[in-house]
Parts: sequence; C-alpha cells; structure tokens
Amino acid sequence: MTDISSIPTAAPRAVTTSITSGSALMKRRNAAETRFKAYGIAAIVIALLTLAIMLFTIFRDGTSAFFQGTMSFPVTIDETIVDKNGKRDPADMAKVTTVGYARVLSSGLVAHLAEKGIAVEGMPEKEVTDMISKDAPARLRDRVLADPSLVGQTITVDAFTTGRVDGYMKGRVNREQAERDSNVSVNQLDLADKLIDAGILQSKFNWSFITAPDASDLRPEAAGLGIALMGTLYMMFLVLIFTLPLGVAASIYLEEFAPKNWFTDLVEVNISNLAAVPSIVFGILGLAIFINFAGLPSSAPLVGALVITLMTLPTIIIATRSSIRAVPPSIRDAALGIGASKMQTVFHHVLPLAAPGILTGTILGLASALGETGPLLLIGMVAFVTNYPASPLDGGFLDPATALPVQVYSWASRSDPAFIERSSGAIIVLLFFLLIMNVAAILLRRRFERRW
Amino acid sequence: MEADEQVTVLAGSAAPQSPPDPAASHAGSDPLEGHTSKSVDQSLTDLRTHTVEMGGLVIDQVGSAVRALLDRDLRLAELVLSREPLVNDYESRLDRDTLTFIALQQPVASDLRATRAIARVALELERVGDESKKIARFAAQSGAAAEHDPVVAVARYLRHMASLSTSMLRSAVRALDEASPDLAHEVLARDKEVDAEFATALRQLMSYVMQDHQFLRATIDTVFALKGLERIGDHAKNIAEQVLYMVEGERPRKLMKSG
Amino acid sequence: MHNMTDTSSSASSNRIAIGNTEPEVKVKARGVHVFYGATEAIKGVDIDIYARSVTAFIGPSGCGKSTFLRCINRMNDTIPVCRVTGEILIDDENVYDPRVDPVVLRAKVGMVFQKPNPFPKSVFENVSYGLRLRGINNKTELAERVEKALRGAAIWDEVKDRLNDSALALSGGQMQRVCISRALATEPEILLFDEPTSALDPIATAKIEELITELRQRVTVLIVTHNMQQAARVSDFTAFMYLGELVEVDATSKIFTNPAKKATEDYITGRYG
Repeated sequence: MTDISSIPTAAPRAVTTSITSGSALMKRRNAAETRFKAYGIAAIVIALLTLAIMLFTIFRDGTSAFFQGTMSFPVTIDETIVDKNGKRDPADMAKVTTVGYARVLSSGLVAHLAEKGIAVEGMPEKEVTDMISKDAPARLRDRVLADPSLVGQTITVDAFTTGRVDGYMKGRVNREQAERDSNVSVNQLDLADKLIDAGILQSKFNWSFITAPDASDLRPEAAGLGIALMGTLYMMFLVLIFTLPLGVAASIYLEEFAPKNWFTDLVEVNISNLAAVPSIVFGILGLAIFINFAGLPSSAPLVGALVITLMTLPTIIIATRSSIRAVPPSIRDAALGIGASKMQTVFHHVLPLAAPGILTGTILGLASALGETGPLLLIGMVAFVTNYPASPLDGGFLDPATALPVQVYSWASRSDPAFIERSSGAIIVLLFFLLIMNVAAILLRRRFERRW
Repeated sequence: MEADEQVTVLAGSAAPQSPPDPAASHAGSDPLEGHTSKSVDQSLTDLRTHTVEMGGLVIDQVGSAVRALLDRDLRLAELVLSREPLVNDYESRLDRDTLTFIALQQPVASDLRATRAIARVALELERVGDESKKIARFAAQSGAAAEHDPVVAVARYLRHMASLSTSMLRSAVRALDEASPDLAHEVLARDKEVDAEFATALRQLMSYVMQDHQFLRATIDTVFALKGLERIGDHAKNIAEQVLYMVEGERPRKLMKSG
Repeated sequence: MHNMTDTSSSASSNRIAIGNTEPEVKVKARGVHVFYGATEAIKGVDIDIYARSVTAFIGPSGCGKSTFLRCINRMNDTIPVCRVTGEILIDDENVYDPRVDPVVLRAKVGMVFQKPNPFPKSVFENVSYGLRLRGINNKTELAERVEKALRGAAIWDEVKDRLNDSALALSGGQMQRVCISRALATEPEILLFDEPTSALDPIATAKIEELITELRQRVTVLIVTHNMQQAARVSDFTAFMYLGELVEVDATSKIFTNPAKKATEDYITGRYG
C-alpha cells in the first residue's frame, strides 16, 4: 500500500488574475483603437462625400450637353438653288456654298411655320430663320452632296437651334438677358415656346456631341468631341505600343541581368525620381526635342504620345519591377534546376507570373496619362482643329488633333455658357473612359491571378 | 547424419524445427507488418525469423541432450556440445540487429516492444542453450548405465519434464512469432506442471539415495539435470511473458506465491 | 559549441571499401572551398559519393550542407557573390570546367527543393518542361517519358487522369512527387534532395522516403536533411558537417551506433553544448 503521506500535496493557491474583470490599461487601449477606427471611418466618409459632391456637380452641369435643341421640319431641296445644271454631279453641286443651303433651310422653316399656323407677326423673317443654327446649312450640304438623289425631294431635316435658344430651353437664358443680348431676341424666345408646344422644337439626344469636331464661338451647339476623342485614342494607342515593350524590357534588364554596380544604382535612383517630375516639364522637353529639334508637326498625336510615353515610362518600370520581384524565387530555382538558362527562366516563368501586375500597372499608368493636360498644352494640342485626323495608315498620327482633357480646358476657357456646359459634358466622357480602363485593369488582374 | 535422425524422433517433433514462414502465415493480418517502408517490414520479419530459427535449434538441443543422457549416447552429447556456439552466435547476432534496428529506424509503440521482446527472448533462449549444454556434458561424462543409476531411477521424470519444457518452449516461440496472447497464457499455466514434476522427481531421488548411497556424485548431477529442466520451463515462461508485454503493452501481473 | 571540432587541420574524408570490391565512386569532391564575398562558407571538403547509394548530409543550420549540394549542379552560379574553388568530379569530369554547359549538367544532375515548387501549369507541362528545353517536341515521345517519370516517382496512378489539370491543385506530398518526376524526366544519374520533406506531413514524408530508397537502385542520391532520424532511416552513408567542414562521413549504421568523432556523437545525441 502506498503511504498516503508520501503523496505530494498541491501547492497553496497562488495569486491569479481573473480573465473576466477588466483593467484600466486594456480599457484605454480599447478606447484608443475605437477612436482610431472612428477616424478611419470619418476619413472615408469625407472622401466619399467629396466624391459625391464632385460627381453630382459634374453630372448636373454636364448631362445637358448630351441633349440639344433640335427643330424638325420638312425641307424641299430646291433644285434651282442647289443643282442649277441639273446633272446631280457632286463635284458640280459642290460649287454651291452653305449660303444657298441656308436659303433652302430658311424657306423650309418659314413654309412649315405657315403651314402649322404658328403666328410670327412682328418678326422679320430673318429673325425667325436666325433661330436655325449656323451649322445646319453645312450639315444639309454634306447630306445632299453625299446623296444627290435627294435633290428635288422633300426631306425632314433635324436642325439644331442656335446656342442661345438651346440655352433658353435648358434654363440658362431668360428674357431679361435676351433683351440685352445681341445674339437672341425676346421674340425668338416666344417663338421658341410656340415651337416647343407644336412639337417642332425638341431637346433630343445629341450624338454629334461625341462625334462632331469642335466649333467656333458662333456655333457652340455644333461643338463636339469627335476630334478630341480621335486624338486621345491615337495617342493612347501609340503610348501603349511605346511604353509596354520599352518599360518591360528595361525592367527585366534592370531586375535580372544588370550587374550590381554604382551605375545601375544611379539609373534606378533616376527612374524613381522621374516618376515624380511635374508633367509640365515633360511638355517643355517635348517641345524642345520633338518639335524644335526633330521637326515633328506640333499638335500631332505622335508628339503627344511621345511626351506621355516619357512621363509614363517610370511608372510602368517601377510597377513591372515590383511585379517581377514578387515572383517567388522558388519558381526560378525550379526552372534553373531543371536546366533553363536565365533568359528562358524569365520568359517562360517569371514574366507570365508577373503579367497581372505588369498589366495593371500599365493600364493604370495609361489611365492617369489619359487625363494629362499640361504637357499637351505646351506641344500645341490646344489648337483649334476642325478636320479629323486621317486614318493611321495615311499618316494620321502626324495630323493635327487635340485631346480630351485639352478640349475640356479650351472649352472651359471660352465665354459662352454653352461651352461651359459642354466642358462638363466632356468631363463626363473622360470619367467614363477612366472608369472603363480601371474596370479593365481589375478584370484583367482577376483573370490572370486565378492561375496562381 | 545419424545423430540428426535420432534427434528427430524425440519429443514428437517431426523435423529439426523448421521455422514457419512468417510471411505466409501472417499475410495481411500481421500486426507487425504494413509499414510504408518495406525495409522496416523486412527488418522486423528478419528479426522474427531469426528468433524462431534460434528457438528451433534450442528446442532441438534440449531434446537431444536429454536423449543423450537417457540413452547414454556419447555421440549425441558431443553433437549438442558442438552446436552450442551456434546458439551463442544467434544470440549475439540478434542482440546486434535489434540494437541497429532501434538506432536506425527509431521504432515506437508495438514495433519498439516487439524489438525489445525479441532481444530478451534471444537471451532466454541462449540460457536454455546453456542448460542443455550442462545436461549434455553430464551425459558425456557418465559411463554405461548401471541398474541402480540415479538417472535410471528418475528416467521417467527426466523424459516427462523434457517433453513438457520443450513443448512449452515450442508454444512460447510460436506465441512470439504469431504474437498470440492466448498461446502465451497457455505456457504460463503449464509452468506449474513442470514445477510439480520436479518436486515429485526430487522426492523419488531422495528415497533412492536413502536406499542406495553409492552414486552420490551421479545423484547430485541428476538433481542438477532435473533442476536444469525445471529452469528451462521457467525460461519458456519468461518468453511467454515477453510475448504478453509485446502484445498487450503491460507486464502480466505476477501472482503472489503462497509458499 | 566549444570543443566540438577536434578534427585535424584537413577535413576528414572517406575511402570505404564495402565487402571485397571497391565500389564505384560517382561524385568526388576535392578541396572544395566556397566563399560568399569574404565569408568562407565551406572550408575544404573532400568526399567520395558512391554510385547508386543514398548519402545524407546532416548538421546544424548554416553548416554548409545545402551550399555544398548546390555546388554539385552549379546552382551557386546564380548567386553573383559566390565563388567556388576546388574540384567536383562527376564520373571524373570536373563540373566547373569552362567547357561544361550548365544545361547539360542539370540534365544529369537533378534537384528537388525544400518547398514543393511546381510551375503554375499543368502536371504534364511541368514534367515535360525539362524535355522540351532539350529540344524534344515529339508528342508521343513526350507522353511516354512523362509517364515513365511519373511512374518513377510513384505518383502515376494518382495523376494519370488529371495530367492537364493545374499542378498546384495537388496536395503538398503529391506536388513534391511531381517535382521529383520533373527531375526524373531527364533521366538523371544523380539526384540532389535539399530537405525534401521538411514542409510535408508524416504520411507524405514516409512515401517520399520510401521512394528515395527505391530510387537508389537506379540513381545516386544525395540528401540534405535537418532531420537526423530521416538520415538514419533512409541513407546508406551519412556525412556530418559543422561550420563549413566535413567532420565525419561513414556508413549510416556505424554513425548512428558508434560514431568515431566526439563531435558527431554530441550532435547526434543532442548534446549541443
């Protein structure tokens, strides 16, 4: 039998701490953390609020740019004015200027008003027909020249009204202002009301805002983003094909093959610094090198693309390098161990794995380049361009063009409030493209990351 | 060899104990096999095979030694003596192999108990071999049988005890090979028989001595022979205990002897 | 660990005869020193590795065992600051001879790493990569050799129906065996295992150890391991390295029952000072 007294007894109860009771230190810590969380939430709320206000303002001011007051009325294409020789030959008909077509339009409008029984007493005919946009005759001319068979027929024409009348429809212009304004009269506004009631004058969705070239101050209603969009697209395309190979090749070389000496260190430091240089400096650089020294035409998408390439390259190089570094060394070891050379390891294994990061970095770099105005101003893309640049195969990259952000700037600096409205509309289009590019970046990254 | 053939008749063994093929009899259900490492399986099987072989040899030695004593067969006694180094070889080889196995394969649980059991069983068998050697030496020294030879007086007991202990040994070794606790318990139970037989044989010898004082030396040697056989039974019992430890993981409770 | 190295100034070497015949030596190292910049990581190693045997390298962290292993297939070339002197001879040809192309070398000497590192591609593409690098593009031949390699790594049955699925979808042990097949595909004569099971669970570890014992019949295996018991279980010869020196190398059964050097004994029994 074991001796009970030899069994060791438990030691007397030591002082222990209770886990259910709190301590002052913990309470202070928890309070501090709760406060920090509150700061975080407040910051996010403020940011979101600011964003909301900005978006609200832009959309409030800009959506109306997509709608334009349009008058619809039948117009007889008078042969005697348009095609005197009756041959339906566009080359021949081209000799008739917009003046003739203006007359065609005017007579059409007047006839239509009489037909509808809309009273125009007290207004000289010119005042009535002045309500038609100065741009409309040119449109009609283009239409007829494109299809000479219309001559002699009665067609329905959708013509813009002038900017002021459109402004009245959108509430920018009131009768008080009209009295002092030389571009519009109170009578026109009254007539406009009647036309609206009759259904002749409506606010329709305006595709030409997106497709038409810029217009002069006399015809704000006709101003469109067409050339700006094309310029931007050309530029972005060129930037993509310049920066992607250059940036990726430079990164690969720096990361994998460059010897580690003072020279490569210097290069790396400089690349990081370049990413922080103000964009306007690149504009001056572009002006000096590409336009003055190399003699490239100013305001060309090619020059804009070159300048933006220089700006975006550092960002892309940095993004590519960190993606390449993120590839785990175990993959490299595996490839080398099986006998791949360093180059094969990079191209067969490292690059495909770094691809999501590279793509994301490129797209984000492009997206921010999309909105760059400063350098483009300096190389002249703020010029007033009315002709579409030709297709790329015809040297379109060297034709003068403009860019979206620059267009926003130039419209915003014109006096006519219709241009201000259009400037906000252009911002909406710009934001839309940014959104698409960012969504594309996210989708692409998701798609590639799944393969990990 | 003649001696071998004579050996075969003793104690009912059909042939020099050929070890049962462990792999054949244990396929699938053998608790000691089934490791992912085939070499571990092989090592354990080899250890068991060698132990069973050693058991066969030793059982043979016991039977042959007693036979040599009872029949006054000098050549058989010499055979047993010449095979004694083989028994020692087995023991030292098993000792070394179990040690190496533990060092290299770090067995645990049942594997560890099996390895330890095998090492101890080898030792027990080696001692049985020693006991047979002593009996064989006695057989070699005694001359022709006289009528009142103490060996003759207890021949029946000698024979019976030899048969009992070899039978116990055989069961014990089989219990080890098959890892069978039932067989082991059987062996434990039969040890009492050997002890009883020893006590009876002693009494017989004592009455013989009182009648006839001549062959004192031979009588003492006979007592030793009887004792040796009783000890062989004890060794068989120890082997059975090792088997139980190997299978069940605990030592069987030793019953208190009442006297 | 004071007084652990009581070796003479030159590192120990082994020249063992097994049985009566002199066994074939596959890899010889003579006077190998490795420097990382100014630090000497391996201080003169001489060792003979026998063909179709498993030689394990044990020793504490930083003793140079992985570094030595990586010298054999010149993986240390990828580290610019690493400098190797001395000779490493495979079949009496110096690995560091300027005429040697690492690609050819690494077909003969395969390597398996600590963390299973299959490429993020399909199982088939992983195993066939080494072959395609060497210009084998015939589909039938690739398929045959991939199957042979996967069988050689005892994983064919588990992946034969998912050869075109991603290799990353397998369990850790399966991935490591795919990596072993990848190394086997080029039919190497020597396989280097750098702590191949330290990231795996006991079952996967046991399977790979069993595989290594099987591979030994065809291939010379060198294995670096932190786990001494693994070295005891799996290897024919064990080399103990400490602080860049080869302290002792001998048959495994001798090292683990009765090592010659006290340093080895102290390390194995856990007397770390």
